[in-house]
Amino acid sequence: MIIIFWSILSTVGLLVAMWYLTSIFNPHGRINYPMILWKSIGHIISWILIIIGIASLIALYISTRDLLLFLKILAGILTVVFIVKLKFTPLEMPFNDVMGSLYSEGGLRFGGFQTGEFLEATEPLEKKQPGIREKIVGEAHYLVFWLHKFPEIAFFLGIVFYKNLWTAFLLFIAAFIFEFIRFYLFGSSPFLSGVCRFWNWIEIPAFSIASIILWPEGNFLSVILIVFLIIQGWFDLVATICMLPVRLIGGRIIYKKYGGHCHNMEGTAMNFVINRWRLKLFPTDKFNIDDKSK
Amino acid sequence: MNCPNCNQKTNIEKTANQYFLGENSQGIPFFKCEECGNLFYVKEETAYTISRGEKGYRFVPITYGVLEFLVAGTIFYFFGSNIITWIVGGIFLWLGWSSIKIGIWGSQKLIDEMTLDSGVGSSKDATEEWRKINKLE
Repeated sequence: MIIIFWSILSTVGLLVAMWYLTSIFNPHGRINYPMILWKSIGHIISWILIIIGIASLIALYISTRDLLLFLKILAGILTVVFIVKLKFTPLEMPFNDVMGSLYSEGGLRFGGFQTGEFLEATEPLEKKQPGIREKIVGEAHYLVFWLHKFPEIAFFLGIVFYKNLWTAFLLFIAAFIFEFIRFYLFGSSPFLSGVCRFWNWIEIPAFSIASIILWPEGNFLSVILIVFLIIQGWFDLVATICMLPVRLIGGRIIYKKYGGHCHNMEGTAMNFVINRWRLKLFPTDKFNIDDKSK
Repeated sequence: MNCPNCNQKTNIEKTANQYFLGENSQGIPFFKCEECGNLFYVKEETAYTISRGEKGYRFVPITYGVLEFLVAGTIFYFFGSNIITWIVGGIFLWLGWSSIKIGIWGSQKLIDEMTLDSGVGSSKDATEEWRKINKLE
């Protein structure tokens, strides 16, 4: 009975934590907070529920006195949390116009892509298939984040299978470079966008469970996993800072090869996705009509 | 309407026409000539020839042929010697040999039509050449 009680409290706490973090890290700042967070009392209630949730999780671990049973219950709780999260992270994603610039609902700015340009470029597509703009924005959003998520997966697998920080970090760098090259050679991929979205759901449970499983073998790797989850999975710091030289060198090569706009990955991703959908909905757009008919 | 390439009459209906390629995002309809396989679009009741913009590769029918040989071999190996095996395996052998012959001796026009115009009917010229290669006439 007490286990069920702690499980319910933990689930509520984790759900509030997920909702709270999504609400406060939105691209438009406080203006887009839910109404309950407009006053300090909303933040205080949220934090109380989050702390109760974490405390309940610890209490649950103490009550079960069995790591395997605890992991099973934790897997159940995380399943509930991520089924709820699924509703908040659809592949279709509305776009936002912030001072003329195009943003995804998830807060990504698509380089120098202007909202007007986007609306103009997708007008025939929207006429043919209403709702396509949200699909395009969602696919481009996840395609851009895949550059950071794929190395994360490589790092995770490096730690889990090789149990070595340096091997994991080398895999991280190799995966980053590989994805960077793949992006410019092959462009958009709805499959990879979907995988990125899926990894977003399972990232936290995967890191947490691996960390718990690795704990008996020495706590170094478990701590590394949690630290990595926070600084990369949450703040994107490793891919942004450590991979900056790779991005700068790669950007320079792309700039020389393809010209001005292409080294801006976010804008290029949007172009790739729009073109892919245009050719899918209008296959005859691949034919170049010269001016002989004018 | 007449094809701008061979000048023969061709169908430019948008419905129930296997030679209609579709409209582009500007609403311009594209067709393939039933007779010569030329691609063209129609604007203001005038037809304009258009290039496919890419070249079909010969390795595509050759690869198909090799795969069909493999399927035939697998059927013979796993399903033993009986009349059904010989019929089904024989069809795959014939298809494989036909694909390889097209890949080696087919004209570039036939290769283009076979590899690039997916979902669109073959022109009469291409069908005739295919028959000649397979000695079906």
